[in-house]
Amino acid sequence: MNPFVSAYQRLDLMQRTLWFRLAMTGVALACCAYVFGSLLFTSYSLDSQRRVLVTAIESQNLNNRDEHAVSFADRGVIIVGGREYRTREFIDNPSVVFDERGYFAVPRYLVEELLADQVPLWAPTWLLDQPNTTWLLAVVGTVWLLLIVWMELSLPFLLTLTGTGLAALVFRWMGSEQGVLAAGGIGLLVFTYVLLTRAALLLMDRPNQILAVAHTVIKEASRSRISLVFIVILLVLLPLLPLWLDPGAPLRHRVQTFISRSVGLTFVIAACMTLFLSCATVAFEIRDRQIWSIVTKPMSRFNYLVGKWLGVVTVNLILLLMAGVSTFTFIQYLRTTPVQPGIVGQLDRVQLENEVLTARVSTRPVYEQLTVDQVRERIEQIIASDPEMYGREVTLAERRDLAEQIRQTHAASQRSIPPNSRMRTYRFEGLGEAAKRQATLALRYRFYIMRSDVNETFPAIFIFNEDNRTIQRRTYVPTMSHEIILGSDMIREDGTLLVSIVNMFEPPPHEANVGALFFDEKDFELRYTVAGFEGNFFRAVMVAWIKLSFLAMLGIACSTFLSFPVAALLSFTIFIAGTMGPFLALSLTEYEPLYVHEVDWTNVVMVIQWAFGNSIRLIAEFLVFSLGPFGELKPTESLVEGRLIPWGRVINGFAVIGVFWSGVAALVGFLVIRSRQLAIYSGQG
Amino acid sequence: MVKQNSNQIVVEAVGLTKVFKDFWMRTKARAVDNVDLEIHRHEIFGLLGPNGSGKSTIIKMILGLLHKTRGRLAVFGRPPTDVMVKKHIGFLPEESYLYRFLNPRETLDYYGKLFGLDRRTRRRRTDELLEMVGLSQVAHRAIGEFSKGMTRRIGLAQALINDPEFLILDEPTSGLDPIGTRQVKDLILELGRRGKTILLSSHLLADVEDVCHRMVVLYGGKIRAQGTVDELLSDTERTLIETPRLREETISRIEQVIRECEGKAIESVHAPRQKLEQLFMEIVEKARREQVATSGALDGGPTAAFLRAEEAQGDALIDRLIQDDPMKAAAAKVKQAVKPQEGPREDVLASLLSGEEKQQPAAVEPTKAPKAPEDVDASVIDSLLGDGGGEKNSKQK
Repeated sequence: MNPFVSAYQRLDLMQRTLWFRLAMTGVALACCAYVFGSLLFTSYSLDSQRRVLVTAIESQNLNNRDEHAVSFADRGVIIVGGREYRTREFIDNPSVVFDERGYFAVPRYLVEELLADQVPLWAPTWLLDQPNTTWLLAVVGTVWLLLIVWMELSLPFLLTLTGTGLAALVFRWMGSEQGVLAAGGIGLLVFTYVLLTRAALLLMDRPNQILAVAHTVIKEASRSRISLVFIVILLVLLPLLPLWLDPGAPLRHRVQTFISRSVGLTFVIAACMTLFLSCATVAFEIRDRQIWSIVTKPMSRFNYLVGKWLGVVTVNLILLLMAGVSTFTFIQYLRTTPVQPGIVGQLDRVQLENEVLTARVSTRPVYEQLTVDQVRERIEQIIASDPEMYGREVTLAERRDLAEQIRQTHAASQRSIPPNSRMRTYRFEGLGEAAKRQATLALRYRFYIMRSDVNETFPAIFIFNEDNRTIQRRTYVPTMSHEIILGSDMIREDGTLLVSIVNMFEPPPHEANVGALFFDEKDFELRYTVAGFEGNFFRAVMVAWIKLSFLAMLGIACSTFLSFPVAALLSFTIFIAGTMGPFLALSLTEYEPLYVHEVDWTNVVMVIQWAFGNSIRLIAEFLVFSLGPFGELKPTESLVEGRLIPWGRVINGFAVIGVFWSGVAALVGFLVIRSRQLAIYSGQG
Repeated sequence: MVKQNSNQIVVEAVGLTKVFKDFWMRTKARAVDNVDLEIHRHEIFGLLGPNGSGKSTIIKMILGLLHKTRGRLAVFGRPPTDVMVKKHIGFLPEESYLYRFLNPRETLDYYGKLFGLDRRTRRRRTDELLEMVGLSQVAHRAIGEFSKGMTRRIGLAQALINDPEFLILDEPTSGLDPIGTRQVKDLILELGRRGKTILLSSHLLADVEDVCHRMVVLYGGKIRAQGTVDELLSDTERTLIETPRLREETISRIEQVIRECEGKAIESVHAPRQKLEQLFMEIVEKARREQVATSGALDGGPTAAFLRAEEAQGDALIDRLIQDDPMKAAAAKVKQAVKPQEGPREDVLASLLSGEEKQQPAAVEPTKAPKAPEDVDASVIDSLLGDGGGEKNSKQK
């Protein structure tokens, strides 16, 4: 026998022995305790000093000759709790850290500089800065190592480690640090996938029919090309994503781009894998007749479908868990690595924390609504002034259209501000909760002024609560989003906030009729933080899993009565229609096929046009009605914009998509497969 | 034919008809046409017919893979779609439709789980079955890499994983080499002797003739003939005498005696030719003795121990299935008492139940298994049946 094979077999036998596993458990625990213990000890020590220092300096004012401010300005030293902290960063010019009022401009940044000499060189600062992340990694890392040992994967682990190490060495030799990271990431993810798959198989290794079917589906996912190709793409692409981040972009944009690409890519690839695998696992089984050997066993066909679904959902869970932990860990790393040095970089970090790595809710101003009588009155005015309508009977549909038009025009007029220093005031309500939480408010706006040149800026003034002391002069780029950060003290006692906008644009005389500032309803809102990013990220992953679980059942149900290509086509169509639901709903508001009274029934072309247009509208309306909730749940978008994904929405999504829709799909699949003659294609006997 | 008690009937079909229709519900083919048949417990029943005669369609209806168009069909007294009925059935389709990405061990483990077998039982049975079908050496190779014959062997093993009371074999020897064919036939005989009910479908006449107690011959979806093998095949008009080689002089004298006594002449005298199967077996045996290497399936081992074991579990479960009728249940218990058993346990049970047996003369004696064919190579059978089996076989001889 080949000596390598022989050696491998001997080592393989050794790693399966109890004494080896016990010994390796001891080694793994000792390593984890040493590494993570040291990190956590240092991290907590720094964290407690950080809190004390921030508390000590944040209210210090140089103009008032406060002790720490003076000490720092004079000597670059701060003494807190009998301990002396100093930094070399501002040794020559310590006064730059003070703002114009004499306060420390960015206390957190200064504290980091004061603590810098206590950070061990070997310890990654991003872990020291975030003890919660260190805890997470400690738990994940320890469990990971123990799983390797107890699932008898020590030898494959060593081989993977060697292979990854060699690839990393090649990249290092080529001088590509990012290549080293990517190679390490790919090795880590591939091995983690194997590990989690093995763990799932072990958990499902029970004499239970549903688990048995699920067990086989998990194996199928790892051994069939149709699903493996997507899994490999995900395992390779995820570690490569950081390479495509623009190194010069502000940190918040880098993080937003990374979240968007990693979470989005994971969901899209997992969705494709789910649809292909779920369609293939049933359709191929019926086509290739393996199902004969299964349904002739004492298992109900419902259990068969549930087992298939559970298997696909478990593969999804493995992928999301793996991608989620790696994405989350990289975000935690990224958030502590400023792109630019000094205060500018730190301000960028602060902006990142406030705008992206957070969970905010948004509220829009209250717009005036027209009463029914007002609408009716305006309709009559339009009819009276329209020579085409006047004098004839105006149909109900026409009146409905006019009413909608009047309402939209009225709403749009409230979102438009004429030029030449004209002002409009908007009222935000229901901010009591934000005031209670002392949450920082972010007023997000995106204005239009009939121009979209990104190099052109326009002036505007914001006044809050009609108090001229709060005036903020801003310039904006049309079509781009901007934010103004406000303190919770701006909220009035009744939980409201008034925002007045003055359009300072003064059009040239020959363009006197242009220059009105306007915006869409969704482009002017107030956001405030109500929860942390970590919880939001977890909920986003859960929402993605719920959506994938529906796709799994959809694919399975379709393949009970369709061949693989047709089932895949149908389920992909439903998936795409569901994803585009909100866009489709928006398009429908603009899509107006001919009305009955407009059709000249002697004109065949017009009749066909009418029938076609209305059919399209009916289909689109049905899709929007039935699949709308799928597209409305956009976890990636929410994460990128730092918007809260509330538990209520997760539970609602679970009930509607995970239970009701999946249940309906399961029912359809069951009814079909129960009555289907699975051997109908046999030409023998 | 003796009318069997209803609890002795494993499959009962009355007026069974299957019509395949197209999308517009127009009749495309009448695959099975008004078939009446009964398969009794502990018998090996053959479905014989050319391709397209309806054999597989009947089997698929029995298994619930196809729905009958008309007639009545009951398996263990229940509809074929009843999930619990399938607990006692083992099925080998006409081709082994197995997962290409699993290896034999994983495949058997999977099917074992579908029967709810615990891990220990699954492992034991898997080992024994792999040994029996000669695939222990390739237990970790993906089935996708196997030859047709090797997948047939795995297919047979999966059909036996639950130690079925009723085994349905659709073309069991298709794709097998002569050794495999011989082993399968011997296995069927062995299982038949152990009291299993077997339904064998084949268009290979020798397969059915060698192993079946009763058979039906189908053509065009209809039964053309049915009965026991002896009833259908015995030729009462001719006599065959077989002896060691005789001299010409002796033959002349025998012919003279026949002329004198019967007034008939000998029609032909010839030395029998060796069968091709026998020649093939001898060549393979010789190669094995010379230890010629092969990458395929090895020689099959003895019948899996769990299949040889005296497990009353199967009957007890069937009794539960028919417990809706107390009379049937009582009769079933009596039947259990007269079930042919082996070894010391048979004696003990017989002595314990002898009184009961006398009080229940109505109990039907099960169909006797045929003796093993005389021309079977004893060494192959011995190797298949192991010590116990070999002993049993020699007793029968």
